[in-house]
Parts: sequence; C-alpha cells; structure tokens
Amino acid sequence: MTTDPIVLLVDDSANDALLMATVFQRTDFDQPLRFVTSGEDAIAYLQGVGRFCNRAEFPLPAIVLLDLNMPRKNGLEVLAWIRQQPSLGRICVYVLSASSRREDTEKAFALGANAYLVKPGNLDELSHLARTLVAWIKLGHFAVAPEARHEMEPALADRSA
Amino acid sequence: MMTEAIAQSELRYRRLFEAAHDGILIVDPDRRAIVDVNPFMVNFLGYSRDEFIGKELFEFGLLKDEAASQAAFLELRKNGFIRYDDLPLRTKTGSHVDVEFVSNLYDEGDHQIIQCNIRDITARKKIEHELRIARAKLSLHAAELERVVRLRTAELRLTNTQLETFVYSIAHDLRAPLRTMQGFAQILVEEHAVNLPPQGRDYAKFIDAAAQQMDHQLTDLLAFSQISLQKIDLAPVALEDVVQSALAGSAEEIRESRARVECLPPWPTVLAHAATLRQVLVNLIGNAVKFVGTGTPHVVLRAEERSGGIVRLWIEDNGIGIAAEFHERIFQVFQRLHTTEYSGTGIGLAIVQKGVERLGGRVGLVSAPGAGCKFWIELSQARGLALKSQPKGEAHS
Repeated sequence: MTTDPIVLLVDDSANDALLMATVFQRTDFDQPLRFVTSGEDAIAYLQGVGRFCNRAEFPLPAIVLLDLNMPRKNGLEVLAWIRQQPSLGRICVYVLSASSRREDTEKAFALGANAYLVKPGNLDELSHLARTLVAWIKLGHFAVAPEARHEMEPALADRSA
Repeated sequence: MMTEAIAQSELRYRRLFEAAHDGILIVDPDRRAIVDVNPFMVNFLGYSRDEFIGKELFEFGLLKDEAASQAAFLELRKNGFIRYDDLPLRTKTGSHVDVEFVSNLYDEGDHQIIQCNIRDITARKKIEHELRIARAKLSLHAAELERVVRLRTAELRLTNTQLETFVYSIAHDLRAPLRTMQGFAQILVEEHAVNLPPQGRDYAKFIDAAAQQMDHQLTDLLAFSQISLQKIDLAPVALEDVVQSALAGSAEEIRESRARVECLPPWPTVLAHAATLRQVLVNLIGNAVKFVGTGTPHVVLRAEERSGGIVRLWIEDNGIGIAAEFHERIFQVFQRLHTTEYSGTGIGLAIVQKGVERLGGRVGLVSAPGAGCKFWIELSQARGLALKSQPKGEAHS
C-alpha cells in the first residue's frame, strides 16, 4: 500500500482552501489536503514550530500549493524563504493564484516556483484542476526534504517493492 | 534771367524747408554751430529759433557731448554723412522723443555746410514697443496654455490608469468570493440534493448559474482591463498569421454554430501587436457566428488596402444585423442588445474597441437589421518594414 505525498495548501481565503480540500476529497488522493491560511503559518508549518511542532500531525509536505496574493507575508515572500532553506531541499512549489498577469508568473518562476496554476472560476474547472494535479502527483517521484527523508523511507521502500 | 531762376529755386526750396514734416538743421562745419532751423524742429523740441542758432548739436542731445561732437564731425568730414537710426531726445519741457538722425556734408561753393534731417519716430517706436510686449505676452500665454494642457493630459492619463487598475483589482477581488459561492452552491446541488426539497434544489441551481454568469463577466472585465493596461509595442504583423491563429482560437464556437468561414487573400502586413490583434479578431469572429438568426452563419474575412497606407480588415456576417442607432452603444462596456436569445457578457466589443485603440487604429461597422454585420478595423500598413519573425534575408526580398 503506497501513500500519496503530503500536499500543503497556503491560501489566505479559508473558503477557497476549504473548497479545494473538498474537491481534493472527491479525487482518489489518499491524503487529506493540509492547509494554512497565511504566509506566516506556512513558514511556521514548514519549520515545524509553534502549533505545528508535532510532525506526526503536521508532516512535512513534498508539494506546496501556494497562493500569491496574501496580506502581510505574500506568496512570493514565502517562496523566496522556502528556496533559502537548505533543510527543505527541492520541495516542490506550485503557485496557485487567481492572477494570470505575466509579471506575477515571471516573478514566481524567477524565485524558483516549479509550476504556475491559475485558480479557475468555477467548481467544474477546479475539480478538473484537482483531478489533473492528483494524477500528475501520483505519476511522479517528488524530491523529499532531507529532514523528512527518514519518515518517508518506508513508503518509498514499499513503492520499489 | 539767371538770377530770377535762382531766386525761384531758392523760394521753392525755402518753402520745402519751412513746410517739411521733418526737422531740418543747417550747421556750419567749422564752428559746429547751428545756422538755420526749420519751423518743424522749433515746434518739435520746443526751443525758439533764437535758442537754436549758434548752438552746437550736442546741446540738444543730438550728439552725446562735446567730445562725441568732435568725433562725429571728424567722421562727417571723412565719410560725408552720419546716420543714427534711433536716437532718444528730450524736448525743452522734458518729454521723451525718439528720432532718426541723418546729417550730410555738402559743398556750397567755396565752403561746406552740414544739413541734418531729424525724423520723429516716437509714434512708430511706441507701436513697435507695444507690439513687442503683445508678442511677448502672447508667447507667454501660449507657453502657459501648453503647460496647462500638458499637466491636464498627464493628470487624465494618471486617472485613466488608476481607473483601469481599479477595474482590474475589483474584477480580480470579486472573483474570490464568487468562487466560494459558486463552488459550494454546486456541491450543494451535487452532494446534498437528496436532503433538499425540489424548490431548494432549484434555488441552489439559481445561485450556481448566476455565479457562473458573473464569473464570465468578471473574466471578460479582467481581459478588458488587461488590454487597457498591458504594455503594447507595435511591430509589423503578417495579417494572415493572426487571422489563422484567431480562427484556430474560435474553432469551438465556429463548429458549434456550424458557420462557414471564408478567408479571402491577399493579406498585407500591418503595424500591430499580434496578441492584441488576435484577441480583437477572436471577439469579432465570435460575434459574427453568434448573432445568426435562423440561417447558417456565413462569415467572410478579407483585407482591403486603402489610401494613405491604411489597411481595412473586414469581418462580415449574414446574421441579424444591428440598427444604426445602436452602432455606437455596442462598443461600450456591459451594453447588450439581447439578453435572452443570445448569451454574453456585453464586454466583447468593448475589448475590440479598446484593443484597436491600443493598436492606434479605428473600428466601425456597416449594418442594418436583417442585413448582417460588416465590422471593419483599420490599421497602418507595414510596407517596407521587416517582419519580426522572419530572417533578415527573406524579409527584404
């Protein structure tokens, strides 16, 4: 039995996050979508500090879905921070923003985003995005942060068996 | 006889001297003293004849001082004349006058005399002065006007940009709560319908449909503001490529409407921005295959070269047409002529107009109810300019 990688969604709109979690639930993804609703919480989660100190409850993700437009610490700042953390290795960051402005996509890629997804406007398109994303995640091998490698090893061993 | 003739001539010139409207002074070059003065000069400067006689020119300001006077007389002997175009003088009562001063040295038998002509140019100078002031004021006003226009234009441009940015952020921000409304309304329909009475199910569907319609409007509004805000550099664009790309982008709508689309070459090269022009064409093609009435839609695309280096691109359909009274209104944001028979957001043609405006062109239409629509857009022809995408060698051939 393999386990899908952990996905952390960062979105300041709790409604959007809840909707995305619901949509993820309707796919065959076997992990619940983890989400936090601010850039500060995203960083705390990834550091495993404060209320996120229990890694059993808040496992380190292999993929971060990152909203850009957030108050105080925006997505680009979180992305820049992530890429400065050797302990997070090549953790995958997919930007998930309502903005399709070229300057936003260019900045995100310049800061090391792995992909840029534009938030769709309705549920059908959002479901389609979630299904495609899940299929993609299930197809791939994702680089795991050095810190998390130890926990993930049994799962990887399973996969190769 | 001879003496009589001389006397007559003497009389003739004496009259001229007495009646002249210029001041005349006769000066003895040896003594530099005035020996005769005409009545005009007496009136002009207000000194009596006796006050003039025997005096030197500088005493009336006609030369600066004694030293200047000596120098002037030397010059006069050397050149035969002195001329000052513009000499300020004071009359006896102290008022200021301007004169043009010419003096000539003449031989008169065994001796020489100097004749000075003094022309009053005070009035002319005054007019010239006023003219200069008027000109200076005029150019000052013109400069001020230009400054104000520049300022206002800059202000307007700023306000316009702020408005467009405002539209963008409004449209952008409104989509987020809308996504929630639509998403959960649909989940309600899809997953909880069993728990709802039929009316409740309908209500949830209404919310879902209205939210989706609003989302389309916001998406179009975003496209509209993006076309207003994006940086556009005009370059030569092969019309054929853009037309083909726009048709590919409209393939689904063309297929659904079963429209027959005809492209009639030749396609010149125009000065445009490919992505913006493509968007404009997609909207016009979408329009052409949408308002079709009962028949099969037939759309014709062709380009026409007009005088003055203008290319007019026609998008013609055989649809329901538009009455002349609406020809201006259809280009405004959220203006729709049909709300039930045809779906739409009312922004498509506003995007067309804004896009064409950004390309430095014009848009218009020829149409009447029942007679189809012929939309045209005019762009500058890019004759003799190399296409960006082509290698240099080919572009010149």
